[in-house]
Amino acid sequence: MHEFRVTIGPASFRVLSDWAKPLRVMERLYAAYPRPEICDFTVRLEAPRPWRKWLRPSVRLDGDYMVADAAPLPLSHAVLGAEMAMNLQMALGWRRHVLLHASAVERDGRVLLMTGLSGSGKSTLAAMLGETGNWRFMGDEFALLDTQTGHIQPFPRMVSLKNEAIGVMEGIAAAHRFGPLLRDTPKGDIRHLIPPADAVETMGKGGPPALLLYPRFGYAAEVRPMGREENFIRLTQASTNYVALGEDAFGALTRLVKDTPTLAFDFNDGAEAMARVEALWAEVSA
Amino acid sequence: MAADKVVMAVQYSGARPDDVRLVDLGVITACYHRMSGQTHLLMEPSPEIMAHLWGRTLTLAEITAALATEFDMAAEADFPDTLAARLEELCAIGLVTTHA
Repeated sequence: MHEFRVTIGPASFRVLSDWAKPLRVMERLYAAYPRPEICDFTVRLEAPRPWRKWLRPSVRLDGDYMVADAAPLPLSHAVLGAEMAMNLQMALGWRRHVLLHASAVERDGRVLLMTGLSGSGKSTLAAMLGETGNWRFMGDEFALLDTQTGHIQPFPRMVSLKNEAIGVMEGIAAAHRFGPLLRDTPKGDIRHLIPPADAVETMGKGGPPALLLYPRFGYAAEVRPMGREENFIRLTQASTNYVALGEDAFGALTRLVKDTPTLAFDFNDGAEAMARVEALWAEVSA
Repeated sequence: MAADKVVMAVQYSGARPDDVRLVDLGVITACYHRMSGQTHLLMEPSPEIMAHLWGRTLTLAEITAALATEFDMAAEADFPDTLAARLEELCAIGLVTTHA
């Protein structure tokens, strides 16, 4: 089997594959990331039957933590499969932090968190802010909440751009930072984007959360305060390991809710949303 | 009448303060129950009921009397029924236990 290793934030992964090509793509996309000796998680890209390695090749995902009966992907989507499997290891297996389904960017040592459902725009907003030079990109999928300090630790994996977000970011980031365009995946069109260099160089450095937004793309621009009770309930739903971490997670999430200004943030235009994020950040920083 | 006597005889014991961790989040109180590892979201008057039952055993009448000064709704005729319903819920999630 072919093998690829990578460290992303505090977590390290080993990807084993029946095919070399997907790992060559990952080697390029993760060229700036450290290569660990010992890995937290292993994932496998395997042919479901021996002949499926060559004949209409398809990829079955496997790993330390998996969901049962996941449908195989075509080999052309293998990099997406590896990313999905790595995410699953974090979602089901990570115990060192409260794992929040959220994007995060940092400025002046403090962190802006954005959480919401898939398609909410949290990933694209974080990626766009990370390209401005004013913000450090910390992650587009998972924010890691330290239960002792209350700080957010980065997990700056490749940005997973979906559908309209691909064109938006192709207009902002240099062409060599993109992975191949993956059409008609289970999540629509997908294209991976290598995070800015500073995001990778400083991925060991966290910071305290200063503002939490619940973005929602596709709605008339509006900002609304969110009550602590709704915020707490939604954060427990946004965490994949809240129950597993027990009282430590309870303490960390209630602290986050009590200490962090939180707003619902509807938007339908990226540039205008970034301007409003800047204004909101200026308010909480005043 | 016999049934009424049985109901009146029921006593309620609350969790010990060390058993739970409560955090006031405004409209709700978040409650972490250490024995079960479960998080419960409590609304008034459940946190107040628990506060009166810390390490104590009281009847419904005694709880009603103790809370009467804290709530406007205590003047309403169905206040004991409201408390009984909340007590039943707290029993169901293990934060309160009953003794005949």
